[in-house]
Amino acid sequence: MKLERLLYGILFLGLVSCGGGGGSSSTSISSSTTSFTGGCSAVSFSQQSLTATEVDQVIAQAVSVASTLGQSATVAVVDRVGNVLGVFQMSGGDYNVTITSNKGVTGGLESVSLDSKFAAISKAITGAYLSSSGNAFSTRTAGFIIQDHYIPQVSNSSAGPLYGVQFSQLGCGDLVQKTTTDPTIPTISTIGPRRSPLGLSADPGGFPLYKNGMVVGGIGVVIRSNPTYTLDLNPTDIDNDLKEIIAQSATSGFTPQTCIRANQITANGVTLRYSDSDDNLKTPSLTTLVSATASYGSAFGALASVTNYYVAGTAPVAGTAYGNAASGFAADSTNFSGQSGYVMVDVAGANRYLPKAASSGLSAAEVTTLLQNGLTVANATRAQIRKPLDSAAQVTISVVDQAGVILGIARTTDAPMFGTDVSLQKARTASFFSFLSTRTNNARGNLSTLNLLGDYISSSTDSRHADVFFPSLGNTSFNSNIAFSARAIGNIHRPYFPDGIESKSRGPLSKAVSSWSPFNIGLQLDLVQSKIVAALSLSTLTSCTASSVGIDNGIQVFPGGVPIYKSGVLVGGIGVSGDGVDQDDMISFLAVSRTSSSFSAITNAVSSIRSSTLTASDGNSLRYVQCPQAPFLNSTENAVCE
Amino acid sequence: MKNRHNLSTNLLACLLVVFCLSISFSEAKVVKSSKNPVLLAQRTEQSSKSMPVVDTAKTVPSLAQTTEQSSKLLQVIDISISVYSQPNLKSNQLATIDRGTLVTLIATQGDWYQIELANDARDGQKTGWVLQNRSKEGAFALQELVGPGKAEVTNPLITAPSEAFSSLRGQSSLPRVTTLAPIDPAQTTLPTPNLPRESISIPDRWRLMQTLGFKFPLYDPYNQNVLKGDLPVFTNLAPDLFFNLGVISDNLLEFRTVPTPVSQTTSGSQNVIGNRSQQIQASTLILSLGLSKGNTTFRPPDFEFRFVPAIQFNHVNVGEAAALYVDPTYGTQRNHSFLGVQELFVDYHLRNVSPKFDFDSLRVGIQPFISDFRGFLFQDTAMGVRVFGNRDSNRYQYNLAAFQRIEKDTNSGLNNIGKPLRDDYVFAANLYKQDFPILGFTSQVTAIHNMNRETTVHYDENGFLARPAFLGDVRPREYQVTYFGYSGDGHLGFLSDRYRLNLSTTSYAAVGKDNRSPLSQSAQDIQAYFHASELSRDFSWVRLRGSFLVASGDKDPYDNKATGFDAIFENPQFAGSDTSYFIRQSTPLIGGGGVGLSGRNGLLPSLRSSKEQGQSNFQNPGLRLYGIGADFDVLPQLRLFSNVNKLYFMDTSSLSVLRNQYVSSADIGVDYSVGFHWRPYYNQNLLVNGSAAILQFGDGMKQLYGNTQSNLRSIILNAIFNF
Repeated sequence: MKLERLLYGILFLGLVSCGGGGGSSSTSISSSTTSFTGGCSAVSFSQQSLTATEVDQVIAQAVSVASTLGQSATVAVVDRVGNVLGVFQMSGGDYNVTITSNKGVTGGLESVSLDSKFAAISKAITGAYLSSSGNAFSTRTAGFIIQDHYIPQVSNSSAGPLYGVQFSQLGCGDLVQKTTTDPTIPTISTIGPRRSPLGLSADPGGFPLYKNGMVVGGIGVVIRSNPTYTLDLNPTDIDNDLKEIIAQSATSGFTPQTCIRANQITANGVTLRYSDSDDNLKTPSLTTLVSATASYGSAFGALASVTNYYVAGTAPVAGTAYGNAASGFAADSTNFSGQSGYVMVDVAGANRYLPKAASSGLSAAEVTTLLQNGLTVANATRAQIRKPLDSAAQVTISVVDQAGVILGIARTTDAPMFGTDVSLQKARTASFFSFLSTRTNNARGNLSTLNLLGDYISSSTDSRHADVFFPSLGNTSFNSNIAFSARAIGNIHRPYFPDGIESKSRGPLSKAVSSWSPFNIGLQLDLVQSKIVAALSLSTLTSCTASSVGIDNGIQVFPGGVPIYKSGVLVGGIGVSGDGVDQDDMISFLAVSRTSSSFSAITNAVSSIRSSTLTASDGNSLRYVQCPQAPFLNSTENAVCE
Repeated sequence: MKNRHNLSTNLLACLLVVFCLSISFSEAKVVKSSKNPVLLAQRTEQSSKSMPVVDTAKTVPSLAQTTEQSSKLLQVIDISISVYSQPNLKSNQLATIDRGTLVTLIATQGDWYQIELANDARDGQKTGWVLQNRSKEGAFALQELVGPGKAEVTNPLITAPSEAFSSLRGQSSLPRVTTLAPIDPAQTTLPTPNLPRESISIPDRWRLMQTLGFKFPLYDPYNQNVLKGDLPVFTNLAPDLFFNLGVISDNLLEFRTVPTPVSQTTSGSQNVIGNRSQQIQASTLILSLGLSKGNTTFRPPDFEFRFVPAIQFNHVNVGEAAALYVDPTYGTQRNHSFLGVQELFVDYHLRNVSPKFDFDSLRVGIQPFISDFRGFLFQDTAMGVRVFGNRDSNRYQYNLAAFQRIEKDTNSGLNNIGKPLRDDYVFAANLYKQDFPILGFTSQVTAIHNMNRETTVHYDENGFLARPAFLGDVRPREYQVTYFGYSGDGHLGFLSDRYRLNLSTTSYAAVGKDNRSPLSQSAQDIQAYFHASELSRDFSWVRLRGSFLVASGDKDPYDNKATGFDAIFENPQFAGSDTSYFIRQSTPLIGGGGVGLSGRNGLLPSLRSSKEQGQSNFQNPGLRLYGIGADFDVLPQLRLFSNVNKLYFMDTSSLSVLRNQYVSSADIGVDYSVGFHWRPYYNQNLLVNGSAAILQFGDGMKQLYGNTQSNLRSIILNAIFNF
C-alpha cells in the first residue's frame, strides 16, 4: 500500500514536470490585452512655424505676466532651429546675471557674469532643442538629468542620463551656425541649427513652444530680481520660481499636449520634471505689444539687440519651419529616402554633409551605409522618451573620420534638435579617445598639446589620475590599444567612480567632488571653457579647443557613440543622439555591426580591445555599450548587442 | 540602471516564528491538561469566627447540616511546627506538634491559625497559634480540612441496582452459566471528606511523577519538562508561573534565477540583463521564551510575557555586482547576520466573561497578527496594543488592535528594533464566528485601516532608496486606506458529506486617499478590490485544490483614481505559496524604476521598493490567478504536492507607463511547482521540505524582459529542527 502510494506520487510529479518542460499545456487561457496608450495620440509631421504675430503674442504674454508679478524680465523667443526671433528687455536697461550652481564651489563657469540676454536666449534654445512632437522638455527637465545623481539628491544613484549635455550647441563649435553675417560660412547664413551662448540651460524658465503638435520654438525668461543662471539642485520640493511662472504662462496658446510633457515621460521608471509652476500660472493680460502710436512694447521696455545673435528690428520676426530648407533641415531624397531620413541643408536645399570619403579609411558608400543602417535601426527602436507609447526613436547620426572630420550626418524626421551637435560630439569623442597606431597624436598627445594632461591623467601620485587608476596602462593611458565609447569616457567623467557611489572618489576625467558642479565638471568643460566665454563676443570661432585636434565642437560624456574599425584599424566614429542613452548606444553599435554585412571590413572594435577589458584599480571596468532589454517595436527580441 | 532587487530571505523566518509559537503553545496546553489543579484550603471558607467549632471525632453532622456546621480541622504537613501563645513569632512557644497531628481550628488572623491545645500544654493554655507558611518546595506547613462530618447512607437509590438486577434476571428464561454479583455500594464505605488523612500528601501534583521516580532530561520535550511549562518556576515569586521554551533552527538553501541587470562597471555583457543565477543559504535560530501565570487547562493564563529573539546568518551569492549593494565594488557575495526581536509582549488577562472561560485579554508589545486565514492583507509582528477575546463558548472571537510597524532588517526580514518605528499605523477590528453560516465553517468580518505618513526619505541597508520608491516623480507621499473584508474557512458539509469539500475564501474592498501619486503627481482616490478562493476536496490520501484570485489593477495612472489593490504586508498561504516561483521570488522590474514586480513571499505585483520596507502602491497592474494543485499523503511521514498556476496582470497600464513601452499582453505565464514535506520521525521535530518551481513566461513577461528570458526557476531545500 505504501509502495503503491509512493509510485502514484512519483508518477504525478513526473507528469507535472513534463508539463512544465513542455510549455503551454493544461491551462491555456487566452491572454487578455489592454488598450492603454498613455492617453496620447501621435502627431503626424507637418511643417509649422511661428509667425511674427505669434512671436509678438508670446513676448506680450511674458511681459504682461511679469508686469503683473512686478518683475522686470528679459524675454527671448527662438524658432526650432535656434534663430532668435525677438529679445525683449523690460524697463531698467541691461543687467548681468551670474552663473552659479549654489553648491559653493569655484572654478569652471562658476561666478562668470554675463549679459542677461545671453541667458534668456540659452534658455529659449534649450526649450526648443530638447523637444519634439513626442516629448516636451523644459530647462527644468535639463536640470533634472545633468546632475551628479539621477534623481538629484538620491544618494548613490548614478549621474543624470544626459550628464554633460549642457556643454553642447556651443558658440565656438564648427557645426552650429553663427550670426546672419557670419563671415566664415556666408552661403548658409540664415539656417540652423544655431549656437547657444551658454550651451543648454538647466535653469528653470525655458520652455518649448508648439503649434499643431509640432515644436516651433522656445521661450526663455530671466528676471532682474534674481540675476543668476543656475539650476534646481533639489527636485523633490516644489519651487515657487517667478521666471518659470512667467515663461510658462507666456506659452499659453503654444503648449504641448499634456501627455508628452516631461512629467509624463519616464526614464528608468522615473518621471522627468517639466515645471514646478503648473499651479501658479497667470493668465496673460496682453496678447500683443504692437501699438499704433508708440514703438514696440515701449510701455514695458524694448526689443534689444544681442551682439552676434540678434539685431532688434521694429517688431519680432517670424521663425522658419523645420523641414523647410530655410531652416537648415530637409527631407533627403538621395541617400536616406528609404529611411525617411532628413539631412542638414543649405539655403539652396543641398545636403551640407553629403556622405563623403575620408582622406583615408572610410569610403563614401561605407559612410552612407553606416548612416542608413543607423536610421533603419532607429526606426525599429522603441523610443524611451517619446509619447505615445511605442513611438519609434528619433535621433541624429553623425559619422566622422579618425581626425574628427564630418563624413556625413543624417537624422530621422522629428529628431530633437540638440542631437545634431551632440551626435557629432559623441562621434568625435569615440574617435578621439580610441587608439590608432598610425596617428601622430592619440588622445594622450592631444591632451598634452592642450595642456590638460597634467590635470587628469599623468600624475603618478594622484590615485584618480588615469595613469594610476588603470594600473595596466601605466603612463600609456589614451595612447594604447583601447577602444573607448562615449559611454566609457562618460564612466570615468563622473564625480564618483563607480558612478554615483558617494563613498568613492572621482573618475579620472572629472573634477573632484569638492569642487564639482554642473558648471565645473571636468575635462569636457576644461577643453572648451575659454572659448565658450570668448564666443560670447566673437562669431568667428570654428573650434572650441585651444588648437584644433579633432574635437572642434567639444566632447560629450554620455552614451551614444562608438569608434569604427576597418580591417581592425580605427577609421573614425559614429555618434547618435536624440533618444534614451541606451537607445542611442544601441543604434550606434548596431549601425556599425550591420554594416559588416555589406562591407565586411567595417566592424565595431573587437571585444578584446574594448574599454570593458580595462580594469581600474578598484576592480571595476568601463562598460562599452549597453543596449535596452526589449529594444524593438513589435518584437520581444532582446540581448541584441553581442 | 540600478538593480534594486532585494535579496532578503526573511519571511520564512517570520512565518516560522508564528508557526512555532502556535505549536509550542498548544503543546503546553496539552501537557497541562493532564494536571488537575489541587488547591489547598480556601481561606475564604474559614473566616467566620462565629461558626461553632465541632469536634468531628465526637459529632458527625448529617449531609443536610453540612452547609451550616462545617467543622474545621488542621493537619500538620510540615515535619514539625511550633505553637505560639500569640500570633507573633516573638511570643512564647507553647508546644511543638509533629507531622500528621490533627488540631481543631478556632480562628484565623492573616497567616496565623488559632488552634485548641491539649491539657499538657505549657502554662495550661487552652489555645495557641500556628503559622501557615511554605517550604522551599512550595508545600504548606498546614492543611485545612473542611467538610461535613458524618458519613451516612441516606439515599435509598443506592440500593436500587440490586433490585433492578434481580428483576432482569427474573425475566430471562435462558439458563445462566455465570452471573454477576449484585452491586452493593454499601460494601464500600462512602468517601468521608472530613475524615483525617492517614497519609501525608506529596508537596504538589507536578512533582508526582518525580516522587514516583520518573525523571526526564531537560532535552526531552515529550515528557514532563520544566522548559515546556510542565512544572512551575519561580515559586518564591508567585505560584503557578510556568516557563515555556521553544527553539527552532531553520536552515534554507535556495537556488534561483532572477533577471539581474548588469552592473555599470562589469566587463563583458553589452545588454541589460546579465547572469541570473543566485544562491542563498540562510540559517535562522529562533528562541521563544514565554513566562505565564495561571494554572491553565481551560482557564486562560492570568498573564503571559513572551520574548522571541531570532538570529539569522545568511550568505548570498549572485551573478552580477550591484545586485546586493548599491556600490558594485561590493562584489557578488554577501555574508549577513542579524538579531531581530520577533515578539516581545505582555498579555494580561482582563477578565472572564462566562463560566466557560470566555475572556477578554490585553496584549501590549511586539506581537504577531494575521488579518485573515491566509495572510493576504497583513501578517506581521508589529508593535501594538491588542484587545482580544471570545464569547459564547468560543463561538465568537474578536480582535481590536492598533499597530505601528517596525522597520525590517533589509537582508533578513527580521524586526530591526534598533531603528525608529515606521510612521505607518494599522488599526484593525475583526470578528470571527464559528459554524456560520453553516456547520464546520468559520466566517470573519474585518475592517483594517492603514495610515502611512512616511514623508521622510529612507534608504534600505544596501543603500537603495526604500521610501519613497524610486518610481515616478520620487517625491514623498502619504496615504490612508481602509480595507473592508470578509473571509471564510471550513467545510462545505451542507452540500453533501460525501463530497468532503473545503472552502477558504477572502474578499477585500479598499478605499482611501493617496495624497500624491508618483505618476500623475496628484492626489488619488484609492478604489481597489481583492478576492481569493480555494476549493479543495479530499479523496482518501489525496487532496485536490483549485484556486482563484483576482486583485484589481490600475487602469490609468494619470486619472485621479488608483484602482490597483495592494496589501499592507502580505504573506499569503495560497496556490502553492512559497513553493511557487512567482509567489516566492521578487522579480525586479528592470528599467521601470527601483521596484520589484512583486515582493518576496508575495502575490501582488504592486511595484514596491520592497514588500518589507516600501510603501503600498495602488497604481499597479493587479493580478489574476487560476490554479490547480494536489497534495499526496504518500506515507505518514511524506507528503508530495504540486501546483500549476496561470497568471495574468489585470491591467498593464502602470507597467506601460513605467517602462515607456506599450505592454500589450497581460499574460504573465504559467508557474509550475512540485515539492515534498518529509517528517522522518513522524513528528514536527525534524522537517525537511523541498520544492522546485519554474515560471514560464507568457507574452506580457516576454515583452518586459525579452524573449531570451523565457523562464525563471527556483529550487528550495529547507530543514527545520524544532524543540
